[in-house]
Amino acid sequence: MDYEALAEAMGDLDEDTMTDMLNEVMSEDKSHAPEAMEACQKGMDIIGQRFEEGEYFVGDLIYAGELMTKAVDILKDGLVSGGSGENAAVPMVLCTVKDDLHDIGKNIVRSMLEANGFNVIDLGIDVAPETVVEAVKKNNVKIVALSGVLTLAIDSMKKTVEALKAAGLDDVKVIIGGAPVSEEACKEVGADEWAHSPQKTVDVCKAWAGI
Amino acid sequence: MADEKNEKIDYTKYPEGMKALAAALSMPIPPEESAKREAALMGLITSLVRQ
Amino acid sequence: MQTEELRKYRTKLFRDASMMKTKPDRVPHMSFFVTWKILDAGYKLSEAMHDYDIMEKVVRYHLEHYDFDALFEWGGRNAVRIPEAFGGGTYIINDENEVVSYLDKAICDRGEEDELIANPMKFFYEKGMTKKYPCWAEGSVTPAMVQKAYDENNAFIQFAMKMLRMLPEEYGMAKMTAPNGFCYCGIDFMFNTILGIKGLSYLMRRDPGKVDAMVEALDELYFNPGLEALKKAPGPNMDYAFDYDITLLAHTILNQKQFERWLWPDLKKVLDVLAEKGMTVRLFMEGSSKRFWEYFKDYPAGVITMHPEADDVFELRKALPNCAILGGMPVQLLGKGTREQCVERARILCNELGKDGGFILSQDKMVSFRNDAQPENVKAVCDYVLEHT
Repeated sequence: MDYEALAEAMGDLDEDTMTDMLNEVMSEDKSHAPEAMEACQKGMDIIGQRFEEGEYFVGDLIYAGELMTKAVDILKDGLVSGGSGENAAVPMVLCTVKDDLHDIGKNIVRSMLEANGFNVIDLGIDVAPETVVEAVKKNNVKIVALSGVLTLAIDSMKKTVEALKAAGLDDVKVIIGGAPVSEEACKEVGADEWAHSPQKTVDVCKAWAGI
Repeated sequence: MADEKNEKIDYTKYPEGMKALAAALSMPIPPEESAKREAALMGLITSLVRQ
Repeated sequence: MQTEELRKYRTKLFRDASMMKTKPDRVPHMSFFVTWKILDAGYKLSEAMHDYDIMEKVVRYHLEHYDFDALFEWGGRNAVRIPEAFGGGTYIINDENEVVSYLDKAICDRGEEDELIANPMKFFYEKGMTKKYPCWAEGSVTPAMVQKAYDENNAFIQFAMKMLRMLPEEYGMAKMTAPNGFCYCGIDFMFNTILGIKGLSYLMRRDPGKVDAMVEALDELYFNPGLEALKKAPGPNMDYAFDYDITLLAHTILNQKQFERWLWPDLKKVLDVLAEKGMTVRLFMEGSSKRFWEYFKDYPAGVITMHPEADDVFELRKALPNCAILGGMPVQLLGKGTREQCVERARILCNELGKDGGFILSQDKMVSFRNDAQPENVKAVCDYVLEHT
């Protein structure tokens, strides 16, 4: 199996080639599933890069998310879930904040985070601050990513950060993303970072996680 | 409206259901101008689908 | 000034600014306030959105408290009564949180594209309605139910006509857009209703040939007739602020190649006709349109008025000196800033972007939520425009 070619197929958003290659991996010997997964993750890195360079845009990232979901679905029987040790995925919480129902951007970021070593606890849309706090405590999470598209999302993001602090979770890092975020909004919200680009979100979270 | 006469018509089918609805509706277009009535109904349908 | 005289004066402000031949007497100011108006007037969202008399009071309140020159939205943006009369609807009105949400519901699922391409009208009627309205899905629809929706649609039209008369005749507001029809770009229709964001993203990559076919089928019904009607327009209608109005959303997910293949051909056709006739258009491209500014640079000055949402207006002026600009006042500032900051922003915008004309002040986003703007900030900006520009 040419894993470089698999990564390229993923990077090229070539669903048919990717699917054929993954099915080949699983029909031969499931033990190579982790290598195939890693190749797909490299493919996601290629996609992220092409997005940054302007070749790909949001529609391509959405499609990439579907391909990644498909890849995981094909490989899942050959992948070892959870586990401890240096290869364990870093848990983090992701959601669209209260009163905002948009999920496209959140889902794109989720796919890219999952491809980059994160176990993303996706709380969905219209998520109340207390729900975020609960998930952070339950899963011992140190990174939270908040998404929103509406202008009111800034207020909801601020309330979420305040709720985390009120719960004594001062060591949790928060990044905010979406159309209304900015440097000013980040200060107002009390978040640690902000991003319009999903790649920036991934890079920041990886730096925080030390991976 | 002649609901009894039309009760066997499946109004969700196109074009027969649409034509029957257009004929049955009360609108300021004369009954004989069926094409205009159907166009008015399809305008409403498109608007409802786009909502 | 008498009402009609005021209306003509305001219309000329917009025309002078958008056509870029003469500097207007002062900077015109357009209201881009939508559901915020309801809350500001002291009503609940559900109250106003379900009662045209209340919505009329909301619009009157807005007109009487803030001195704008034109209103983009007069209470008809979310006509919830029509789909609700039919037992369906995709709006969720939350009065407690003062939020109106819209549930995306694509009407064409994967595998159904060929059906739609073959006969869009049949598809909308049978499949589209089934997906949106329970009575259609259950087969329980009756003429009485459709009559109710039809009557609500008429009631809405009556309300619209009343408002569109009231604004100029009672308040001297400039009439926004001349009745030159509408061209619905096929790809935008696919983005909004037919496939939705996810469905379109998938199909563009998976089967671009099918996207071509679907755009062609939809354009035949919803774009080409509008274009033909536009071609028959005699030219600029100076009784209105603008001759045409375009709002686009699909570009927010398209890469450059996809834009060139599926959106630009349609958009170019409309812009070319407008340019040929010397007509004006307000062009609102949701989010950022910066990636596509180069496509507009060769149009003659005074055709396109860009209304940017996420892009910097000063950068836009440098990139497209041939385009008038509408907007520039950030909702974030109106909501969170001080009165002085808002006025200062207005001053900078009017002095820099409006110094030679070509600028219409407005908000960068549709003002929807209570915290999007503080009433005193809105009033301060309105007063500044009247007194100082």
